[in-house]
Amino acid sequence: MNRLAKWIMRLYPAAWRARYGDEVDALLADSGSDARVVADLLQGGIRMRISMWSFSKLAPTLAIAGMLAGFGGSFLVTPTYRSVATMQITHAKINPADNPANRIANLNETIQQMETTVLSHTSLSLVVTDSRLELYSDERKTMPMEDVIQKMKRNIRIQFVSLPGRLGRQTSAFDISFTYPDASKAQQTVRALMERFDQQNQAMQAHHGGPGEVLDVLDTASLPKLPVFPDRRSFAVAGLLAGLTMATITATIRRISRQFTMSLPSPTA
Amino acid sequence: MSDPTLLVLASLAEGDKHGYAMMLDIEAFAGVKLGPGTLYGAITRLEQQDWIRPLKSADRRRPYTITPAGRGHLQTELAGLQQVVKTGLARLRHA
Repeated sequence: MNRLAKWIMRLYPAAWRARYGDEVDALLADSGSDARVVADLLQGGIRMRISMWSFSKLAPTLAIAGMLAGFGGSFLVTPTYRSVATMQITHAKINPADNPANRIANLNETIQQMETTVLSHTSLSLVVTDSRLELYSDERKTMPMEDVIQKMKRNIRIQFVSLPGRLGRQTSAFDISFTYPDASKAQQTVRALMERFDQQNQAMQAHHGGPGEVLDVLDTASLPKLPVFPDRRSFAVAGLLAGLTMATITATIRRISRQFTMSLPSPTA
Repeated sequence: MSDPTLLVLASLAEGDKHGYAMMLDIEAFAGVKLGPGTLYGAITRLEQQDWIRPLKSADRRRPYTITPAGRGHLQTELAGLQQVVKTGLARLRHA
């Protein structure tokens, strides 16, 4: 342990070692060293070293340390993946005399009606408890189903997609996305939601008695390879900024207090 | 009291001492075991402030002495602490 303590002494600035090194050596010889002594020397060495650094050295060091810590820390966060699919809906029979804007508005209204049913408590509880999916199995042990459904709803997004040109005047399209810690389950859940949209469309057609709208798949549910959260780059940038902030605060405090500024006195001996 | 600079000054107020002697003295009167990094960090700062001064020594165990300025600083700090202790105890009695 004494050897380790002496090795840690190298962390201290050379000028400081030249002035106090022998004295600390003698102290270690008298007191002996254990893990606590080694930790104390290490902490003192780092503080002394940092206290002597100018801002131009402190800032990049803390920024890089923060960036690495942020990047490393992102691996401690449970990643979540987002699967997305795109569906389109078209009137089975298009009347050329119809105003295209009204046509799209009607289709969008139909999508919203279907969305209300697909995202209802009954519909989503069937998806959650589907034995192939077994979503939120941990949460279901501790939370009421209503809360699990609310959590699931926050991770589902239905968004209209604008289609270009003539297609955009005849068809309305929308994305269905779901974010979940398991990429494969995210994909399977989006598929299940697409099926529910399809079933709902058929049910509406049966209710209105005739071919109303045609629902097609534009893009199948994707299998995400990269997580949407944590965004490792954002974590690294946040760490970098935190390091720079810390360097600025340290330099400011040091300038104000001047307590840690090293100007070694010359030995009397 | 856990400020190492005050502990070192309080130790040297009794007489000149080298690092290890200070360490033992502080442990005895304050129950605080200062590590070598903390002790010599405090010694460095106290020397910079001219509150302590190293004495001539042929040995590696260099003794230090408290300067009049250091004695004055210690007195001021302890008077402040005494006021806090007095007030705190009085308030505890009336609580």
